[in-house]
Amino acid sequence: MTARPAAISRAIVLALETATPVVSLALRTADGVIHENMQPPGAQASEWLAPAAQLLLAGQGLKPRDLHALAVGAGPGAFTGLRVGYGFAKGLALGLEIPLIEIPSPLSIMTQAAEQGIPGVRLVALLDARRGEVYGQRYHREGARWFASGGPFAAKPDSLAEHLTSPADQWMAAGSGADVWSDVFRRLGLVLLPGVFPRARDLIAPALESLAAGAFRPVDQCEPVYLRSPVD
Amino acid sequence: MLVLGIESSCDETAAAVVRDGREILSSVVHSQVREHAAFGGVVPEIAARNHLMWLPPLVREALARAKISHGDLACIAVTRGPGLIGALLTGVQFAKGLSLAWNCPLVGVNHLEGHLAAARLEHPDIEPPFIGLVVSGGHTSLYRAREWGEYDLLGSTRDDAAGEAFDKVAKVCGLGYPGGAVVDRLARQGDPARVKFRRPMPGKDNLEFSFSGLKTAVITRIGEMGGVPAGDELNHLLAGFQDAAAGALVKKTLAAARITGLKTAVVSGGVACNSRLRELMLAGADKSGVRVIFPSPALCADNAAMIAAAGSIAFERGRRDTLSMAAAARLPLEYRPAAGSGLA
Repeated sequence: MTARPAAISRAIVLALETATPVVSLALRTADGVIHENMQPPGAQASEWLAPAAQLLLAGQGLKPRDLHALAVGAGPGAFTGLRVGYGFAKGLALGLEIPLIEIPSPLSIMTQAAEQGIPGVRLVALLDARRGEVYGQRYHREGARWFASGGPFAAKPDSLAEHLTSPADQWMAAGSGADVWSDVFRRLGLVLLPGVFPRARDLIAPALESLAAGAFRPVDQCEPVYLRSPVD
Repeated sequence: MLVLGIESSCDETAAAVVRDGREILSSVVHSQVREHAAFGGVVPEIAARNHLMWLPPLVREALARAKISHGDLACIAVTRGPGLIGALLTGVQFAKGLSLAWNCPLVGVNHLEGHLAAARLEHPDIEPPFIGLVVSGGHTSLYRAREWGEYDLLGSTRDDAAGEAFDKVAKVCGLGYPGGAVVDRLARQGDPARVKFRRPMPGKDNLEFSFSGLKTAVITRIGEMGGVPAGDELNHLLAGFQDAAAGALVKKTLAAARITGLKTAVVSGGVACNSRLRELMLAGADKSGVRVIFPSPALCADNAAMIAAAGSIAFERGRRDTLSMAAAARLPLEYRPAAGSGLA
């Protein structure tokens, strides 16, 4: 491992979010500013991601070896998308001998909902799982802070209520899964926050916390959250 | 010149370091056969997930065994196709990460060219032109190698790959997966003359293969026998099947040598480990005055040393790929220099 930055506040971190078709990169520079790069519509993530990361670094006058850590959206999400991100991130982290910090992708949904000051204290982040399902993660608010409740799950949209801990009309839902199945969720009584996708920039803050706490796995053990068996 | 090879096109994860395209400094392979065996074949999603976990430790191990550091590498060669797209994608993305981290050039390699280049690792003197037969669970193709990197496809299978036929016959006989090694072992104890099958020859005037009919003939024969036989009867049946399959491969390979006038043939890929194929090919080649080169079994199966060997050749020829390089499930090997390039 490279030496820890003198202060976490000066850490340079590159984040990748590839769990959904809205793929993005974010670079946190030593001054705390976050620089972003979003994949253009129509581009292939596997062809766009690596050169875009190189350009993002170069745009700030940085080289890969200047990085202190990487953050990757851990899913759940599209398997191919997750592999595009993880494959690249594991190679980069191994090569640079820096931590690879895995952050659940639904956390970004929660972060954006919180930024928008949503009412209520219950949020379910939903990502499109295809095959007629959604991946979900419950969050609840205590004061100004949001916390995850339980672990991620896969559900048929019309049986989402079985995964909620109180009546559906007490919940807000956001994320690509909420958008795809909006009619079903409205019928169940959920309040929807449309157009929210996981973003790489939202991985930075939790990654800095994990970096400070040393809370990350060795790169060999890093693996996306698949939720589904490989033979389903 | 040191090249790191990375292979992840199917169910083997591999990394290797090769010097000057000919000398293996290290070669490590993790076979996923056990993970797939329960399903009777390769499950693409299992393969891709496994590659993601095995690539980092294998690359680290390959560098350690070669006693080199990444700064010594001239380039990173990675299989970009053909193969299972999720499996390929994992290796290609991983190689891009290493390439960016180490500021080391990236070279995408055709897996089929890797199989041909494997011959160079044990026979450093071999140079094109030669006939190349790549025969495995996913491929059965005959090439004329004009130069390294320049290949004409002379013929390929119209249906099943030869290795696929071995796997399917093994499955029908209840011998598990993969089938190549167990069929070979049992067939060696049998007599191919006892249960004969027609050599699959789709036309006399071409260099194409077909193994689907042979597989069906085996299944039909099993039906006529009242079910899968046991003991010697099973051994004879498998010997007959193996003899017909190997015979077809030999006949077309030697025909390719005769038609092109070439006197060297490289036979590689997983099925090139088959003992009957080796026996018949060497006997036939001896009569025809053709030198046949079989890489050793470890280099016939999927490995990264062959990818590093092919990558070395491509790198020396000036090949550099960018970080936008795409993996490709289908990737023809044929290459013809552009007119006016001076190479045509």
